[in-house]
Amino acid sequence: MKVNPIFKREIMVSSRSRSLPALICVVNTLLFAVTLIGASGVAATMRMTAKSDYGAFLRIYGFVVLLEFMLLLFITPSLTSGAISSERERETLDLMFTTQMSPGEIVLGKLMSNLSFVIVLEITCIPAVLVALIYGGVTVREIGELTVIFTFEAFVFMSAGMFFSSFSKSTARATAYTYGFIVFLCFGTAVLSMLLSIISGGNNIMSLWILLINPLVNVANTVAGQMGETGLITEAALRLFSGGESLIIRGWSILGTALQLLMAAVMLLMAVANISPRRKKRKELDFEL
Amino acid sequence: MILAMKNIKKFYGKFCALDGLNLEIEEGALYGFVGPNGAGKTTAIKIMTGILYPDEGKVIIEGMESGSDNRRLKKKIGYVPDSFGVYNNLTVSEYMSFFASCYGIDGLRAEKRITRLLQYMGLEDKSDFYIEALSRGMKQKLSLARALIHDPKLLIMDEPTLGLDPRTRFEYKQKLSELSEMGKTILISSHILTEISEMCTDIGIIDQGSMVMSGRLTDVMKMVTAQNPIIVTLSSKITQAIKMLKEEKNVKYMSIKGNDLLINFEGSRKAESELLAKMIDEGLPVVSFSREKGSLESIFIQLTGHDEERTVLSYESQSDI
Repeated sequence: MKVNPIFKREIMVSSRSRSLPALICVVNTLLFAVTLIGASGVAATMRMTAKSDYGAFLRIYGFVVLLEFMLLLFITPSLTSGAISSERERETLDLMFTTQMSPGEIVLGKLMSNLSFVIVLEITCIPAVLVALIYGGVTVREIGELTVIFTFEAFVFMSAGMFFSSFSKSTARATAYTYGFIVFLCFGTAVLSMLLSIISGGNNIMSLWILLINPLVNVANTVAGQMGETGLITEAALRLFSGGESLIIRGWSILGTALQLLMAAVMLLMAVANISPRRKKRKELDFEL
Repeated sequence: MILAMKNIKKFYGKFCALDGLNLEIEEGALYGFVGPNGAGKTTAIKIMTGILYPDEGKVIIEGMESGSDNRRLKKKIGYVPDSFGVYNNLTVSEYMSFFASCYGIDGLRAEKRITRLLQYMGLEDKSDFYIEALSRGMKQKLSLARALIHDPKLLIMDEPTLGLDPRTRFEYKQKLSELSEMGKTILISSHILTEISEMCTDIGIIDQGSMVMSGRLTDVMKMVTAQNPIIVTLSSKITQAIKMLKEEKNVKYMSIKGNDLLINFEGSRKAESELLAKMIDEGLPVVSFSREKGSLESIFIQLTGHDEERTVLSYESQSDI
């Protein structure tokens, strides 16, 4: 099987760089610190009250996985936002266009290498999460599911990074655009959804559709479900839209994932189109200049 | 014909970078592509290599129109940009191996080819060095080795000797001449006109997005020489000579430089010899009589100097400044 040359090169370079081990070290230190501080707090309370609050460990688990997700949210954009723009800055992108590599293969190679970086990071974080589950409460399968969801959301963030990187001339600008977009996606959509709901008096279903593309809601919904709080989305959705328990609420995870997948696919296709040499219309060129 | 560009137009917004550029390169030629800054050389090169698409016109490589089967076309072209285009965090052999795999060359075949090319460029002892540790000259040699990894027929180079020291430049020129002798067609864009005139077999001069002159270098040089002034050296009687020459209808204008008379003479070789005979008949002490040798610089300035510059040049030559 022919391995994508860019994937091969990026893996080779990152495997000997110090950034991956340094990042793994920082993220795991943070997660273990939070887990151990939380667990020792629960143990101290148990000693004082002589009551066992096993639910507290589950809450620590919820906090730790959400913290892990927030860390991913800030790490992943920086990985891909320079993917294309740094090649442009080095003037190696033009060289790749003269080879047999297609723009699609270039984007795919970059994406795959960064995604593998994130997967390695997530796998190393599993022990920290498992410590919180010393008394059980969440199955290994559920942790596996969460890892898949995290990887998926990282893929969405990376697609945004690739998109902004494909048209930005500098990596700094691409990084700023990507962070701006991800902050909007995770927090802006929530605010927008609430505003729409308030303006329409809870009668606009768009307030739910907007929230579907929010990765944070998707992750929070999954974590809440694992912690036994299954009604989180239903409750929130009913507050935003009074139209009863609609199909959207019942199929929240599937619909949300499908919409985000579509959004990521569109951004990746646009990234490919942006870097492809093509006959440009005058208007496009005016925009570039 | 290995490469032909027909009526290529390229706009950046409202700015016309290439305005109906026509270019033809014969197989085996070492083609010098010259023009002032902003003339459109790099844009033309990017269109040839498929990095940019023209807004109008077509590029034909070995009879195949660009855009029809770009993968096949790209196999025929090796490109050396004006920047090195290197990854400083790769070693020399890793860099070569990466580009080999970008052309679908892997395994033992790639290894053999890389070793051969590094040996040819004199970089075999640097194969484990990180690229950032290489000198400018070595990086440029590596860039050339990279462009040859897939054994292309046509090598397109944008200012490859820019910023190189004289020794490295000499070595680089030698490599290019060798490659040309091996049968590679080479297009080289350069500002160093002496270099072009020493190396190239063909030349194209581009200005303001279109070709102002192209052809075999020897033909161009002949034409340049014919347009140059006749230099007449006299041991004395310069005033008498000027009086005589003023009456000659073929003499357009002249200037004095020491004991030399620079005569702008429009006429055949026969008319030139008749003028010489007449001067001798008049008793003028002619020490030497010859056309100034043509240089690429003079034709370049003549063709790419715009109206204001031409006026200055004309004034300078007439007023002997």
